[in-house]
Amino acid sequence: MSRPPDMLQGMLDLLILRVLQLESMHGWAIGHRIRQLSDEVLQVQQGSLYPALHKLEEQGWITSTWGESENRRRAKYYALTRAGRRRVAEETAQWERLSAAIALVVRTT
Amino acid sequence: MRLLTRLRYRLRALLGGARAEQDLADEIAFHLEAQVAAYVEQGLDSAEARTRARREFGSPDVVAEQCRDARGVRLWGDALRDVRAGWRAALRAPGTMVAAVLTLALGIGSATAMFTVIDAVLLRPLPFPAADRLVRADQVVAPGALDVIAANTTVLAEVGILQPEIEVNLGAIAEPQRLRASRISAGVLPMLGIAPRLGRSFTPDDMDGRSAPVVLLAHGLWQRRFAGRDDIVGQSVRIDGTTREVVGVLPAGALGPLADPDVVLPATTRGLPPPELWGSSYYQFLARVRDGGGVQAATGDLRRMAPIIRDSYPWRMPDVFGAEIAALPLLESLVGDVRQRLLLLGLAVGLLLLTACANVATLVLARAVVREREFALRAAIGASSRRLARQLLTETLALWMCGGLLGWGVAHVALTALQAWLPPDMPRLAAPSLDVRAWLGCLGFTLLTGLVFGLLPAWRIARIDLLPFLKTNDGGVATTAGRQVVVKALVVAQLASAVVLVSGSVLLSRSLWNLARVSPGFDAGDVVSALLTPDRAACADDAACATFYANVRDRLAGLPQVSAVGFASAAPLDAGPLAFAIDIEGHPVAPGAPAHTASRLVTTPGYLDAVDQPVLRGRDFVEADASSGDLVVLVNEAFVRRYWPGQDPIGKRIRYVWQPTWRRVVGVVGDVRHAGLAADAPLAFHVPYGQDVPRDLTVFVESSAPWLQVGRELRQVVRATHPDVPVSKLGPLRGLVDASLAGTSALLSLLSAFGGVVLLLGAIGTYGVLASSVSTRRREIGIRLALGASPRSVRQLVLRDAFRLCAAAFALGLPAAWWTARQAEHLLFGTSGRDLTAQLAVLVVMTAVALLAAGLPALRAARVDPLRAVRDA
Repeated sequence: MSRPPDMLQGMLDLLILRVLQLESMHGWAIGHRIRQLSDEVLQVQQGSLYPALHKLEEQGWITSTWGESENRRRAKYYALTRAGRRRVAEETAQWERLSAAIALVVRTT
Repeated sequence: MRLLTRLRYRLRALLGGARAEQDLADEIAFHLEAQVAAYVEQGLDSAEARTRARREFGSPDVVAEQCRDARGVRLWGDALRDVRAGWRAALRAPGTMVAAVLTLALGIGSATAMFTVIDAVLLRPLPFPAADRLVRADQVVAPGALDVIAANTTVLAEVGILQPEIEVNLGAIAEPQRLRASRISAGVLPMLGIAPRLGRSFTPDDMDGRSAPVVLLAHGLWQRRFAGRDDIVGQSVRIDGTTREVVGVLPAGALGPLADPDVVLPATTRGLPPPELWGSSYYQFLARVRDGGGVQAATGDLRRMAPIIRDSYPWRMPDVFGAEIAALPLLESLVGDVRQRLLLLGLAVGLLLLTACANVATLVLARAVVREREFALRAAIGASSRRLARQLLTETLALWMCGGLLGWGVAHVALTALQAWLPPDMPRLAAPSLDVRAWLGCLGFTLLTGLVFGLLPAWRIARIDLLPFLKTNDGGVATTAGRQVVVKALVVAQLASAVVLVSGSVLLSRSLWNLARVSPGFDAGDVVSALLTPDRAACADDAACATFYANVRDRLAGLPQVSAVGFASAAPLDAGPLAFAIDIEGHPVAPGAPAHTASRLVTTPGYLDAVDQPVLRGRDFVEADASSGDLVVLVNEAFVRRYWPGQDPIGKRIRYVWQPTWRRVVGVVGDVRHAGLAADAPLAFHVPYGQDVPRDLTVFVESSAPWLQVGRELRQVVRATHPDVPVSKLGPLRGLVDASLAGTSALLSLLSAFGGVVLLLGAIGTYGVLASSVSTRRREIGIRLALGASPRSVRQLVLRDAFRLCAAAFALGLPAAWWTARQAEHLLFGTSGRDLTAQLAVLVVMTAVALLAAGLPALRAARVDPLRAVRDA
């Protein structure tokens, strides 16, 4: 019932958008790709992936279409919208600023 | 753009509800399969892969729920589910729910009907173009003044005069007919934006009394009497003995709330002898304010012109004449008297709505307590308290919507009842109908009260900790204290509303009682009156008129059982005689001071006898007065008190301001409350018929025979005397006295009806609170009894609760009642909001109701079996 903290929630959104920047994917593949890209460090809670996807879609940053998966099953594919692309750029910039700032603090103390 | 996307998304999710659900399930299933496949690839066997995938994913239902949440469409689905759940819960207690819906329907329906009446009478603009710039003067004007005003105004763009309600005779085709007529000046129809349906409007030429007489027909009469024929224009009709050419036909309801005539005659503003043009007929003054000018400016303009108008009179008018004249917006001047009565009723209905809602809210609260275990269970499996509160709010709103739907039906009935019950002279009362505005009003009342009163139980359920229920298995004791506070507050609100309404009803019935005991100054018993309106056919000149009336009198007097017959120029309590400006010998008017005025009544010998108005000094008129050159008058007591206190009035002299000849006082008569029972008797003087010769007189017949028989005989006598003279307003004089009470009694019956319902609801609420308090305190009561408390003391415990509720209601209701009474002061007669008797009466009624409502719970409390109560609880 308890939601992940805001920080994590925002991060998950960014990760999803980032992953979708390269190509459109279905939900399972998005989770898989995040784990892969982060060298298995970021384990996305599978259950929280879908609410996040639906929220992003509702906000108009991604769209979904039903397509056929690699093993010929019906799957829902998500793709970035134009607004989504802008959003990735903004969020990425913001994240870099934030992480640089945190890194600064962590290093100096 | 983004907004559009979101909207489309929501819409799709909303409309394709089943489809979206399926998609969601498919998506989750696909994910699980993909995960299982991935694990199998890593070397797990398929059963273990499946278990692991499921464990990592968590509950698909929870995920689906969160997805719905994220999509923001969950509210709708939930609401539907909640309504269904509420419906199932309601089915478990159908009686309660039916009572709740009916109560709400009553409240919402009456509020809608009342709103419709208030809207139609007070709020809607008049059906004239740019009606907000139309004004009416608060004083009547003589027709001669119209030209003066038109020539001198700087603020008024259009001016006109109107006599909305007069009566005329339509020439005898089969039987002489009495018609409603209005007189207007030529400017009125264009000012009101009314174009005739056929023919033309009046022109200034029609008004100077020299061109051929003309008339406009109203739509109704044209249809009724002339079968809607187009060729009616140019034909002649005979009205009051004068042949008039029909120049046009007005559209239906043309003059709207101003007048509802059968025919419209031109007001004559030129060419008449001065007393008629300046002294004996009066009109309402209508005008349209020029762009940029306001009502203030119009008033200033009229006051500026007062001296000019005054100087135009053929006789000297007092210097302050017209100085206080004011222009009122037309709508305000039409509804002025009615506003307060309607607002009072509006308040009553508002309280009724409030009470109904409070009543149902207590029911909902009580049901929520019963269902606390269900809620606790749902909370235990993860429903948030906000979610539960929302469910309760949805259920309550659904209940309210049912009430509102049924209320729309109630509104139809209530509106018909209101229209029948409100005094028929209320302007614009015919207009209300349940249209879109009423529908919106109904919806508004439903949603507003539903939200306000639905939030109460929802707020309660959101705040209480439900989990202890499950643990302790206790029957709801934990929450009742808090719930009782809210419920008690609601019941106090209901009782306080009842205090306001009951006190209003008591004050009004005191007023009615006082009014009914007022002596009008005459005895209406056994008197039948009727208005006779001979036109030129019967009354070619004064002598013919006198002969006609003398013949009628002689024939009537010859009937068996008739003890007195007399005539007067006006019937008491019916509109009343006009006030005339007079000079009084020995009371010179200082320059600048207003002229003396008094009401004039032209009477014949026999009139005072017929209505039993006493002659206190001197003598009544005699037959010889009619033809003698010795001008005489009677004055009333009020006149003597005002001008000749402590003196002998016999022999004193008065005269009309426009006549040089004095009239000698020969007698003093008792006061008659001409202007209504609630108003003091005006200063009045009587002139004998013959010395003044009004054409229309009211006949008064005192007879011991039943009035219907007298009326029949009266009609026969008049027809036998002259076949063309209509008899109208025929009825027992008692009817005029009753009519004078009608306004107050209509208000009283409406207010009492509302008060009764509110009182009943308040009593039900009190009963509910006490009954539930007794049942939740059974254990406590049982222990008290077991420890030796007497049943009597237990009964007192419950009664004390009832009285506490009443006392609180009093503390709240009485100030509100005082305030209301002060606002509505002029509707009261011989009493006021601080009337001690009235307050005592309210106290007694409320105490009786509290006792009644508390009786059953008190008895039940005293009969609690201590053993069982302690064991069961």
